[in-house]
Amino acid sequence: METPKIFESEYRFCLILWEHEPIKSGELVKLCREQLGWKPTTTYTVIKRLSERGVLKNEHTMVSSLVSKDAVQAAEIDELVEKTFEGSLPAFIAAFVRHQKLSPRDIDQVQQMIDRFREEEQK
Amino acid sequence: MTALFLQIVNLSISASWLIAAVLVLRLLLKKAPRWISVLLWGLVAIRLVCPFSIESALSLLPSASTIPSDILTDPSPSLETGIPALDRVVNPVIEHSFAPQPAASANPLQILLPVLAAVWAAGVVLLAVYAGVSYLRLRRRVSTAVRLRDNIFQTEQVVSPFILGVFRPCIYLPFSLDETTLSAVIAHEQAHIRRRDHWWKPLGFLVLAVHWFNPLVWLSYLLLCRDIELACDEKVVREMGAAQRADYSQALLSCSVRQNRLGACPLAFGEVGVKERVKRVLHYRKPAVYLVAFAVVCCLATAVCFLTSPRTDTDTPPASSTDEPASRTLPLTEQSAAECIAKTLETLTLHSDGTVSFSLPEELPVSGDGKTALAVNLSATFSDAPGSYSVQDLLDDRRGWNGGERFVGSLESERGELVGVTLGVFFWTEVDTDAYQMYAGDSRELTAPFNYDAPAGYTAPGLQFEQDGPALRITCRMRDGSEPKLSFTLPEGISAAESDGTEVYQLLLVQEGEPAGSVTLYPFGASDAETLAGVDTAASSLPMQIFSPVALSNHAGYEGYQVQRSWDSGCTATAQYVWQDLRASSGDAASIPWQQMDCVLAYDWNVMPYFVEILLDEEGLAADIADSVQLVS
Repeated sequence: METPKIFESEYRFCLILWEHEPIKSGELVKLCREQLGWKPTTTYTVIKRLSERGVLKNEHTMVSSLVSKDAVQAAEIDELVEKTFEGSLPAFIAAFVRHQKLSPRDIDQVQQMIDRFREEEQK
Repeated sequence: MTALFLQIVNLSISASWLIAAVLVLRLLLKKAPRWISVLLWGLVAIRLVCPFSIESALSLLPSASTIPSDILTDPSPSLETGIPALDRVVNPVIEHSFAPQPAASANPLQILLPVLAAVWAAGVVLLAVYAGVSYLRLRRRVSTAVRLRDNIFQTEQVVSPFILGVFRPCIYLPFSLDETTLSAVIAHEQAHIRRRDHWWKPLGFLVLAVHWFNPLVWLSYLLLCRDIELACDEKVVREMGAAQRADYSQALLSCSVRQNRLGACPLAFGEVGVKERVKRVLHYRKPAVYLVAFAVVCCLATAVCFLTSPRTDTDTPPASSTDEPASRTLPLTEQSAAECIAKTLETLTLHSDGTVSFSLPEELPVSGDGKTALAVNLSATFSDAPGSYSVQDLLDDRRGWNGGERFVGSLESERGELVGVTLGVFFWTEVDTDAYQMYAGDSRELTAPFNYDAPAGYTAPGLQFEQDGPALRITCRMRDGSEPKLSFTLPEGISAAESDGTEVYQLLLVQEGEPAGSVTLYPFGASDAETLAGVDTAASSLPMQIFSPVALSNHAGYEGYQVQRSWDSGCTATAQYVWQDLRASSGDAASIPWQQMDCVLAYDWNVMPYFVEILLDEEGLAADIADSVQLVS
């Protein structure tokens, strides 16, 4: 059977689960609040999603995992997300650096600028 | 809604001048810190939003209100851009396209502008909805973000870091950032928060949503976003040493490279070239105090010049800077023409110093296409011997009148005794070269006895009636202002109604909705006292001095004239009105059959110089009606 893929954030959630399972869902919600900063509704949604995907099971409010830590493949999903990412963030959101296509030459040029600067400063 | 739209458009136009100035200023202040630019965009936002502004002589805005708020009802719509050259180019086109036609009841702008206003409102709603939906989707997307520390979260759902939340702003970062990049990014986003950029950007977008129709505003928003990013860089880097700056630049580079690797994403708003940002970061120097001071002064100057409006009382009205006539105008309609004519005729005054005058109303009706013009005739009739007359033409179809103009003319009293003065006010429409059609018009005559130095009021001539059962009372509003009264008894079932035709002194008689006759006044053949004195009012022959205007015609006449009652100055009589219907003719007029109708005739030259003709469809009624006729001054 193929190991279910999970997102990085879900992976962090699973880390908590693996450490404390089997655990009452209510307590799990509290832990997620403390460690992840998740709202209770978020935790419940994630529990439901992961149980549908076969990563964990939720029986009579007791949550326990169905897959082991090693088996989980987080990295692949990471890439998938980028490909389906719809595009630019709405313009009114403050952002660090926006989507910008740099040609390899541009990349090199900028890198050179930085490198030269470092050298100058060290002198 | 339309008024709001117009206000917004005016604000947009005013702001556009400011935006142009800011664009120039940005170029000048390239070396100055970027927060100055952001401040300038703030000024632009204020200008776009604030409907109030202080008037100042220092204002560089060409016009306080380019689209006048009364443009919907203006007969000659025009813009006041405040630049005469621009006005001259734009306004003729607008007037040509949008001037209301005299016959139409609505200004074309009254139809167009509400439509435009609706389109604008739809655009605003669309943009607002887009913003709202985007925000909600983002929130959902980052709901599983894991807190790193404080208000910093990480999630696999995002590629580029950003801030979400207005009151409790949280920083959202992608997961796989290395240590250096992570700290650089966090520093940048925290600087954004300290600068309150998470307020300015959404607010700016809101302003953009309202002014979505103005491309300069889109440009401003784009540049605002850029300047915000650069200002943020500056804030972060200000306190950094060289090594840290190199690290920061590296972070910038790796972030963009990372995105590169993951797939090309379309260019979004406000992104600044990484190359430029790295350059600025590496070469950042704390700006000299004088530079900052200079930049601040520039900002203040811009604020004063563009956030204030030009003083409206020192503004020369557009009319005097273009070639339009100084007279005020209102749109030409049948009603406005009639009112203008009535008002003018009211002012006809004969002065005891031998002059005659009249005045035109302040606002003259003007047709949008310029094809209908006001023309005035003024003439005076003198008599130097009985039966001999001469006419002095003081005004012969004169045009080119201005509102409020007063004309005074001298009477040539050497021509003899003044018999009458006639003022005619007409509107002529040019239907073809040198071919005119009367649009509206009327005249007023002053006759002896004259009322010197007193303009008598003018009422539209006609017959005004009052019916009380069978008794009909008619007030004859005559051209010279007198109001003689005519009354008689109507047979059962017949009532009076207003005339539909062109005869001014006429009423219709109807029975059960069907025409039953008419009452008409016709002028005497002769109205001088001497000729009338020769009339035998009791004689059974038709006095032509009285009845010639009708009786002299080859195709009509009164037959069987029989006097019922007579007195010194008049009589009532019955007769047969006979006529040929010329409309039925196709050739030989002599062969058209004669028709006849009963009629009642009455006159009294002491009451008015008109005789009364009452036509009746039904036979046998004339005698009784003639009995009841009364003519009183």
